[in-house]
Amino acid sequence: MRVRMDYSKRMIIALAVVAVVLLSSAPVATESDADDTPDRYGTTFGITNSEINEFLEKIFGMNLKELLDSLAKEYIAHDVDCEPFLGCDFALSRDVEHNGGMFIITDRLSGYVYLSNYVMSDGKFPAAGTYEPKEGESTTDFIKRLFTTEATEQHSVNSVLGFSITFDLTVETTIDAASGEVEDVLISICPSVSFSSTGNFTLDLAVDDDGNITSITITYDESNDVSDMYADFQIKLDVDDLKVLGEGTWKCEPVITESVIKAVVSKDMVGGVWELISSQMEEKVNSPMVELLIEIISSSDKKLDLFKTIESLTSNPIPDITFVADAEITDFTDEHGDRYVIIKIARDGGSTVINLPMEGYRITASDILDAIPESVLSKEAREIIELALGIIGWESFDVADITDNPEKQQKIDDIHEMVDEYNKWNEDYEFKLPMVYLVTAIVVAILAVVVAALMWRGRI
Amino acid sequence: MMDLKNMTIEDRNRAVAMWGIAACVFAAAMGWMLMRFGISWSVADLPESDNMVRIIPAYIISEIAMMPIGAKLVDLYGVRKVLIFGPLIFILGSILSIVSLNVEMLIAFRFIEGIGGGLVLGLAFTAVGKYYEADKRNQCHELMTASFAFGSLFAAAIGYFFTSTFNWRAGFIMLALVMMLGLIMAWKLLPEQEGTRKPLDWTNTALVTLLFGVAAYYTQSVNVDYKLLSVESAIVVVVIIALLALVFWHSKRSDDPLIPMGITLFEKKVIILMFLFSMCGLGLIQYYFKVYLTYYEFDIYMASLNFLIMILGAAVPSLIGCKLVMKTGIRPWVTVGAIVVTISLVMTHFLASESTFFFALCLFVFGAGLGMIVTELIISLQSITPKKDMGQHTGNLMAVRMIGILVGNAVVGAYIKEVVQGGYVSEIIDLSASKSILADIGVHIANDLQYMSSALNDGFTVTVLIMAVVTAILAVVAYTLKRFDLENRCDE
Repeated sequence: MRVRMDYSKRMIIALAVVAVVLLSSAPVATESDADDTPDRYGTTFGITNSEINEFLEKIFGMNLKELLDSLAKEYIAHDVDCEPFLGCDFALSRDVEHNGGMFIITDRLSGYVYLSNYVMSDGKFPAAGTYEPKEGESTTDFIKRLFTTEATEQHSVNSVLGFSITFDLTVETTIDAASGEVEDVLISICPSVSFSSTGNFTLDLAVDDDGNITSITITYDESNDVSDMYADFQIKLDVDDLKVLGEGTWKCEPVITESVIKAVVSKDMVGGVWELISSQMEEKVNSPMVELLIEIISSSDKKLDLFKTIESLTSNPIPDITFVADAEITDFTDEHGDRYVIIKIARDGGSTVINLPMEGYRITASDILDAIPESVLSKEAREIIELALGIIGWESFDVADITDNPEKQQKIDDIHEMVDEYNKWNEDYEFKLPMVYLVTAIVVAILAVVVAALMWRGRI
Repeated sequence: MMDLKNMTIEDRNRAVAMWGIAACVFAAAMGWMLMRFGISWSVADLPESDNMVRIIPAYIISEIAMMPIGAKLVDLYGVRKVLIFGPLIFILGSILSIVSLNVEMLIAFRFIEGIGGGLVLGLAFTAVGKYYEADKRNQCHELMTASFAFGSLFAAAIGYFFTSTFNWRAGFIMLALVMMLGLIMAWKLLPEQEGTRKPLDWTNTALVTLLFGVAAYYTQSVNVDYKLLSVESAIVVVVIIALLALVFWHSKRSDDPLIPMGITLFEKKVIILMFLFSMCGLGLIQYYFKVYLTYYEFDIYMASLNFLIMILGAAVPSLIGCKLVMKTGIRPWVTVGAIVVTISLVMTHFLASESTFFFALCLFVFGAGLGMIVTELIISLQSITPKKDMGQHTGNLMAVRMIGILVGNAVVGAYIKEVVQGGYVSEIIDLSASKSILADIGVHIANDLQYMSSALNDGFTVTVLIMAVVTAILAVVAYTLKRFDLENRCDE
């Protein structure tokens, strides 16, 4: 069964915001030991299949399988065998090195959410075709009608669905220990959303802007669909005048120059990214180059670098972007004795405050959710998510000192490595010489040899 | 060639054979530009490599380096003997390119393909001089020039079509098949024609090949590996000058050198004019293409259609010019042609960015001017050249023409890059004033793309004005050619 993933790009943005919030709260150490052993902070958080079942039992009084069975009975009117599986693991880490008068701070958030489900059902199903809700009919009633009243044909359907989100964000900050100023920041962000569906039953949902289903198309052909949204951006920020180590309150006028090192995207991602950027703009930008770029990247199975492709089309690199800001920075110690650097950036009619703790830090779920714009996550959704996070024990994240905790370090490294492998697999292109071209080349070669031989012998 | 009713069977066979050679020229010219459009996208199914930028130069360098040899071998062994080697090497290179497993292999095989392409191009224009008398070469030369123009001008669009519809490899299959068809047609119908059978001066051949190869390499590496005004650039130029001196020194001592020695002032002027017109005229064509793509619309097919307008502009003056040049001499054609090119370049400066209509009009006039110059220069030079030395003179002129195109390309490219990068003023995003940072970044990138389009256009329109001044001077030089080609015709 295939369902369109209209919200994938929103998920990526939401995850990116969460990651940025988490890492912008990462501590900036001032008292790192001046030796070769980096200080390590970190935590892991995740959820297992049994934990999700416990969570669902608390809310609905039944586990995931029972819930799906009950939904099937409610909407399809006959039994559905299903085997759902959900896994989720994230690691948040921070390494602080003191090297040649520089603090090199590497913060990383990586992890994955994986959901798969095997579904099999025998019984009456609607005939293949496109169905639309009747005037005034709710989405629930429409689906119910489709799989009961309209279910007139006997079918045996099976489907394996796989859905995964992988996220990886690394921020490497270099700070001059003597001046206390940030030198540069290397940001590497690598989100991916993958959706696969294999089986003999396809369900295509068309949804309007409000999320209401406008039509459902059903087919019973064997299909194997994969939607792969992947991006890998590496960005370097050269920073001037941003002092983060000091005492009291001071003002800075930071100048940040951004240069893109890498901007690899998959063909399923490129249109969505530009659409998302365009949707944020007040005026639409109609650049023929953008249109062509999207067309070119969409036509290739290989994940291409956006910026390199533009360069190969125009013979010119995309210039860097410079940001300026007015910042007021304060050195602050809270009631628990934890020290922070509070950066208050003046914004249009207000300010944005970033807390940079000096040592281990703690961040709550509401801090993260508050930072996600309402255009990405509605107020209602935010409340539900906050409640759900509370139930599964994710109301706060404690990034504690784990320098002397090898077990915790190992767990973090395992998750990071798993994500590394996934990213590597995503960008490693399996090269295959298309057989049709190999055969054609051989035919042309034989033809050329025959022609040459005939010419040589005077037959032509 | 066109008057089929009054033709003998031999004449007809020879004419059809020339169509065969023209097909080979078409394939060789296409090989030059086939994947020029968005190379990293074209070969996206090959493993990533930093050497991707060498795929195009690999063909160009070997093709230009082999052109004088191709022409010279025709003098020594006759057209048919060379005909079998050039196209077959090209076909071999194409087949190997199809099965390339990585970028480096593709570069090597494109180099081999270029060797074949160079032999074909050197041979083709020489063959016209060998098989036809001076006053009957015009139509054949037009055929060859048209094949070269169609091949090189539409290669980008054809390559894009193959890549987006099938795979870049399909383009190489087409090249191999067109070359094979041309080879069979030409070989089957071309009459046997003996060469001088003199031994090839290998040292001289190696030096001349190296000279043209290094010159071609320079045009391909400048702006990519180093800047035009840099130490590396100066070193390569010094090497070229040293090689040039060495070639001259050795050629004077050779019994049968690859490049002609002791040539007349007229021929020297023709070579210089060919070089400079290629630089100021043909070298600009690629930028007309780029400007259309980035300034008007990024539609490669529409951009290529503009070339059709340019060819239409060139067709009538070229047909008349090539027909009459043996009666009037080269002077009026090149002089008037240079003036028309100058006018077209001035028009381009003022009008090309006004609308697509004016852009096309500029290209039409530009084509009309070039139509009076390029083929007429070849016909004129061949009219004073003995048939036995046709390859030596023609091959040299053709290689100079190609180097001229590439130099023009490189100089314009370097200047435009300077304009684009030098004139760029970074828009600064003020976080304190920004309502949406993501939106501001999007607008910023879009503005940058817009800037690059405008800067490319600005750089181009300034360059054409400089080129217009050069072509105006060339008009004066052309006027000094007098009637040498009419008074010194070499009819055999």
